[in-house]
Amino acid sequence: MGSIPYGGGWLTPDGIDAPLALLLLFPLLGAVLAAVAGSLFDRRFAGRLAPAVAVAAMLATLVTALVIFFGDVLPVGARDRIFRQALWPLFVVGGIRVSFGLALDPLSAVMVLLVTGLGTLIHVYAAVYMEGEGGRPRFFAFLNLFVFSMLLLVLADGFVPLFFGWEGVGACSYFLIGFWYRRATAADAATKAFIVNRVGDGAFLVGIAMLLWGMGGVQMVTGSAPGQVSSVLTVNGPMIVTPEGLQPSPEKRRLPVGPTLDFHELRDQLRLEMLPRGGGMVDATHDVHFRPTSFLLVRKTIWHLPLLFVVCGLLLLGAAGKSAQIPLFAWLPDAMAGPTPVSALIHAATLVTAGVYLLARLSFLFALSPGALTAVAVVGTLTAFVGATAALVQNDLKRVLAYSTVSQLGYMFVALGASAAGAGLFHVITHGFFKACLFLAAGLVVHAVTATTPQAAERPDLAQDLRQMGGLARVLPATRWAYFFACAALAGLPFASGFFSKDLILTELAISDRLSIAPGALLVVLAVTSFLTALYAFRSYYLIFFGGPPRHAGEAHAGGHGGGGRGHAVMTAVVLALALGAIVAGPALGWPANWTPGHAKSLFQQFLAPMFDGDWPRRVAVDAPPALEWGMQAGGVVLAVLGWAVARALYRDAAATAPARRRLAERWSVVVRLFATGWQADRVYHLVLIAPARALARAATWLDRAIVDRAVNALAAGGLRLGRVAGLFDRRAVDGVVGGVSEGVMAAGRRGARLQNGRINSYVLGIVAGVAALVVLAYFLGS
Amino acid sequence: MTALLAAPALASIGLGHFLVLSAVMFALGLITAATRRSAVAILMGVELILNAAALNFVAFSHYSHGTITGQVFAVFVVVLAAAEATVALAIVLAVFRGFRSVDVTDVGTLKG
Amino acid sequence: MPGVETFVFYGLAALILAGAGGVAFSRNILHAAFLLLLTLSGTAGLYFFLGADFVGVAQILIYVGGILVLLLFAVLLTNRIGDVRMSNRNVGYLTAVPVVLLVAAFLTTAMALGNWARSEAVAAPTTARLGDAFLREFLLPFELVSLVLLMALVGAMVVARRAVRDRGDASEGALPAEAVSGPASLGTGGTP
Repeated sequence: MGSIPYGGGWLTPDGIDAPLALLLLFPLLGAVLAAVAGSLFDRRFAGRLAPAVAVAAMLATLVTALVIFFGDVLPVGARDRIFRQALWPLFVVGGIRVSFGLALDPLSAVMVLLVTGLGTLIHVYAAVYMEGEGGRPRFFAFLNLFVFSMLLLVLADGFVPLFFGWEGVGACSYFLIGFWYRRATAADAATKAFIVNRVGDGAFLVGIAMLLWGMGGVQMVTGSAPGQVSSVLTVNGPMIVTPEGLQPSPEKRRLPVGPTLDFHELRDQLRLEMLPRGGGMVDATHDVHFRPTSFLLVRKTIWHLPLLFVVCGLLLLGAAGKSAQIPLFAWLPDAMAGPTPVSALIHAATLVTAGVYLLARLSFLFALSPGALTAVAVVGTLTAFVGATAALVQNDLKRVLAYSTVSQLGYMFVALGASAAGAGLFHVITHGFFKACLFLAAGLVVHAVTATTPQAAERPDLAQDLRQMGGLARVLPATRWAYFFACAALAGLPFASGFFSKDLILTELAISDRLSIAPGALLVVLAVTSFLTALYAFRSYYLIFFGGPPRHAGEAHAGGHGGGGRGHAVMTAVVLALALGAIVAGPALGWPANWTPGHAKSLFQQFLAPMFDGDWPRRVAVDAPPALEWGMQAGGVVLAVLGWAVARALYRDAAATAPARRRLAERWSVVVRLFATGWQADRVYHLVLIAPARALARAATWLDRAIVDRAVNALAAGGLRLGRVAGLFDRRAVDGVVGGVSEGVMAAGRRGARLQNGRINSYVLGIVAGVAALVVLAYFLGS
Repeated sequence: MTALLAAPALASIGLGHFLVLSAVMFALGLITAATRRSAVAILMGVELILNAAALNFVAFSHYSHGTITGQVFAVFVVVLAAAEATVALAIVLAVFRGFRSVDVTDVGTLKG
Repeated sequence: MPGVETFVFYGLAALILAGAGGVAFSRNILHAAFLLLLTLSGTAGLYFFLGADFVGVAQILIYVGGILVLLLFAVLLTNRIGDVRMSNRNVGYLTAVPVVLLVAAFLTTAMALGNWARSEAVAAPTTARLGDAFLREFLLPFELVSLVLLMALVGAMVVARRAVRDRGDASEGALPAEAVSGPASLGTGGTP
């Protein structure tokens, strides 16, 4: 097909068939088997069957993913890396054909590898961590089901399968957060997460519907008359960019035009729409005149706003619900009520990145609306800042990590707002490694605290309290170093991968030209956030592993989760593996361009280039000037080191600095309280949503009682009165008539009876009168 | 009217005279039966009526040459009047025995 | 000059009407009974005037001699002897008079205005002819009348009989024994 350099519109090639459904089949089977077989044979295998099945399913999925990646994806040329598997046609509505299918392109491939890789490691950890817990079949079934939903989400070829997966991960998150459902905190947290997600989902659906509406709705004009758009367009194949300009390649393709829910079709149609005269892809001599009058999506407005801005805004809200951005982030800290592996898998690496994935997938849509891009960047920046401030003042270790996740997700959104989806996805990968490592290490830490502190054993919530920790460096040496490097990655120190991804994002933000506001303001906030990130990361590190009461080294292995030394070893191994990934992934995948002589793109960028470089309108500056890159990197390192230093000074010897810290906290108590509650997010929810809803309910009740009930009662009273009147009428009139008639008859009878007065005289007269009358009658009749 | 009344008075006695006489006698008997309080008096009235009828019969018989049917019936009337008077007076006596009075206003227990 | 028949007729008519009027309007029932005698006699006279000799005689014998006597007996038996002035007028005049007047007016007008044929019969004894009629054309009514007389006889006896049986046999005739103050009835000197 020939190599095609960047720039110039091109259409998605026809997909290559690949058995993508296998990737879904294994986790689904694993879930079903874990649930069924795990419950049935629970006692025979001492509850180990379900975890084993789950881990086996994950391994199968990982192997399949690797085989597909190395066997199918890599060998094919960069432009042709799209693999499809159409599963089922669902239904046809008007002009839209809705079907359920899977597609694998570089973006999906990255996500698939992330989910399966991290998922497998975390499953292994969980199998050991949950040893001795009740309800393990349920846990592992949902864990596998979660992976299934996530893979469905990333492999979806259109909005429909994506939404299935979207909802699936939300549901599985609910089930897993609320795994210990008998605890009120867990159940409430699960419900909160689900409902906040739901708000986002609602916005998501409305966004899809409006997009569909903007495309001309379901009824599509078809025909070949001039001015009408055909439902299927024959266009030239991929363009060839030559020094002379765009040249059409000889082979033709058939492109469906009109409302569609397929991502690639939508992207192609928008490219056709944006390029003048279809970018030369449409033959002027073709008998079908291409005049997308009914499909000018970019020109449509709604309520005096550009339609694409509104649609992207709604999609942003949907993504914010999943990825815990402002205003829908308050569920993530509470979701820490679930088991630690759940937090690691779902709330560090996969579910929360679904929003990032969605925005990346639809980056071509966002690219058409500068307002939307600005909104994304601003939301990301603010969220990063708020998350970092909140993480700084938390006392619960897992809540620190939760707010840290919120903050880091903000960075990813910034990247997407800066039209640098590749950088955002890079950060997804590095963050997945180091955050999962941090969470799983936290699990080990909590174990150790429970084992070595008597009061913590009795009260589990104390076990996660940073103030109870300290001095665990001797108890958990391997974990300590893993935690250190993960913190370094988080902070952005140059010897761990976070540095590479974070600085890439900031650089891309600096050179972005599509924002409606100057990136400078955002960069300042993000710089402060970087400082705070380093600060809170190393705060937790020092509080956990340094200072504190003396602990016996050997006790950490006893009791609690983990089932003894071997389990502990397995878990530590996983943590170390993740830490290794946290160190290595950055340099391996995202070697910065300014560190290479030829200013070459990193492996990661190269891999993802076909996805995003075709976005129209293209960015003016594709590459950042090297000076900027050096400056950004230096600044990032400085801020990180600064944060580390301050943390070291404050927390390495926590007991000594405690009075000073307490005074500081008291002086700034208002600020501390604001940060600690996540800037009063729950309070805001209450004011904006709950209180009005309750007021509405009260008003409705009042309405019901005052008006409806009164009306009904009045009606009933009226009916009663009517009944009484009717009764009266019945008694007086009807009965009166009837009675009157009978009375009259009886009176007449009585009067008539007086004829029989017992006197012969009157009888005689009667006879005579009667006879006389008869005679007269006979006379007159006879005559 | 005066001619009506005067004419028959001066003409020779004809059937009409007898008929008018019997009609008047009938009316008087009727008045008696209709107004008297004593049962015996009522019986007297009935006898007057019967007599008027018999007189009518005989008058017709006289003024129909050759027939004697009227007189036959007059005889019948007389005989039957006798029989009827017998039974009626027996009843009156029985009533008197029971009610101690023959005043018809006293014996009206059969009234409605 | 009207003939003697006219005077005779009008005289007899006056008698009759006077008697009838007395029967109708007399206050004293005994007077009414005797005035009835007058009426009956007058009627008999008219019968003779009309040449119905047998009927006239029968009238006197039966009506005057039988029925009138019976009525007198009834009158005397049903009123206290010392107080024979009973018989008041009824208050039913209001309804009776109009009816009667109406009937009377109608009858008299009809009779008066009628165009009656006149063919006078020859005066001759009628007894033989009556006997003939009774036994020829009117045999059935004759027999029936005799039956009626028998029934009337029996009926009168039954009706007038005293109710209590142990007072002895009822006397023949219609006279109650009770009205006769004094000894028991004829026949038996049985139980009182």
